[in-house]
Amino acid sequence: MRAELLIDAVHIGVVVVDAELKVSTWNRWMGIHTNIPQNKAFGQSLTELFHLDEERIKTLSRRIKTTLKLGSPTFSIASAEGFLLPIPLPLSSRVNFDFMQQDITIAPYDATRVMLLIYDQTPLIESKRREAGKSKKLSIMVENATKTINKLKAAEALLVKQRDVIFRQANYDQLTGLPNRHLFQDRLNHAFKESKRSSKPLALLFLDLDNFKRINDVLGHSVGDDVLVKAAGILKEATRESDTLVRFGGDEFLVLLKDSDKDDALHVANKILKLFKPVMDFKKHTLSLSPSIGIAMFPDHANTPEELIQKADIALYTAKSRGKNQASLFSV
Amino acid sequence: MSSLFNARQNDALVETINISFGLAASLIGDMLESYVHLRVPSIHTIPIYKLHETILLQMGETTSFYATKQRFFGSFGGEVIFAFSEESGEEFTALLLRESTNSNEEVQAALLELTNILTASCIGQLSQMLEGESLFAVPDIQKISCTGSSTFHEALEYDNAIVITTALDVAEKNIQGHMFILLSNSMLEKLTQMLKKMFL
Repeated sequence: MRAELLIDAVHIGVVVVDAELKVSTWNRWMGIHTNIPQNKAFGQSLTELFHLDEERIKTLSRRIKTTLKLGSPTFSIASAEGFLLPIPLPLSSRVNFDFMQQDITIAPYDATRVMLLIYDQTPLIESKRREAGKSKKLSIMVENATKTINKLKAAEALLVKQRDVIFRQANYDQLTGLPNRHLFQDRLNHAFKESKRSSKPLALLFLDLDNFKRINDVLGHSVGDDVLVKAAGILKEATRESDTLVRFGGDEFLVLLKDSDKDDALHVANKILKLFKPVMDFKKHTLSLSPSIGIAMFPDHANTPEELIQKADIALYTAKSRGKNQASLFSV
Repeated sequence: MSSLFNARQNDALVETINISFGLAASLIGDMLESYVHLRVPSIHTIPIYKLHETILLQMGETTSFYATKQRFFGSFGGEVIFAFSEESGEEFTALLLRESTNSNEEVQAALLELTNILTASCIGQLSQMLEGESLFAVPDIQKISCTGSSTFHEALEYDNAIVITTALDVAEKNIQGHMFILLSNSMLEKLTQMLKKMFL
């Protein structure tokens, strides 16, 4: 009698059945949740009480048999199986489910009967589902955001690449890869400001290749282009990274030397002259290649960038007129 | 493979588990309505900190796997973890339902029923031999990603794991599950003493 009171007092379903699913114990909790009172359930089969389908009958019977044979409990859990016994939820508490989601422990009762302990896990499963929904939503949002970020990054990389291409096209010579007249103007202006501020001199070397027009005319532009590329290579070798080396146009090159006096400028000019060997090979042609170099200084010879270029050009003319393949410092 | 048991204790443990699996095989055979042979190809022990990497190693090249966890209490206490590859889980479920499925819920329900039997028979047998008693907690089953972080942190309260590979031969299929019995040092010592006595 006391055991029956205890069984009625607990907040879980307690049902004792035999292998044919016939009920011999049905506690108060079951009565309340199924609307089937104890006196009506007693002696009835779970199949009739819950209108069990074939699959559920088979599963329950199998588990009861396992429990009896093992003499040990078996478990079914709501998170994996939903519900084995269709216990309708009250209309007022239906959120996601029409039926109670349940953990059922099937424990041995005696040699022929088992005890079903039924735990209502509906709130837990609903909460798990909400959390899963949230994390699913979140992961979809993260996935979409990642896709968008990747697309933006790809677009940005393409833009950067295009910008670089445009910048190179606008500021560098396609043939030699050296900065062009446009970029040089900017660097020269900047160097002028810096030189004025620091009172350190600037030197500008203005070069052109002796007899280049003749090479171009006689051997063609292809050989001419090779000569220009070779000349650019020699000039790179003769200058520092901090110097600005420019293809100014045609066969004309400029070298801007910051923080350099006349001696420094002459030293670089002589180095260039030495690097141009008297005889060089170009596409089966052996050529004698040399530059002429005009040098002008700031602030000694010019007050503006334009004037500096002009004075270096005059000095170049002097070098040419003196017999080519030499450097000449501007003089008034 | 290294083990905390010597060769004779290892053999005794294999024998004990094989006995318990005899009953389990008969129950699983009833479930599947087919003849089932359960084998224990290997047993070894590992320190608990190697649990996660050992499970991943046993799972081979798979992106996720199913794992059940169940504690048992009493004079012989610990926890049992079963790990099944997705393929093994789906194969067993197909045998039980008589149709192919990749429904997560169906596979979990089927594996839970299988591990109920294996755990109860194996732990029940060990408890009985230790002349003790074990009570089982409600199990849990999850599908676990191999790339995620370890979901076996709770296991660190134990010291060792006995790794038992179980092979289920049924209907020309070989379904492999990996059973990990997590034990504290004192429980392992108890078990070792019992295995020693088997030779006296």
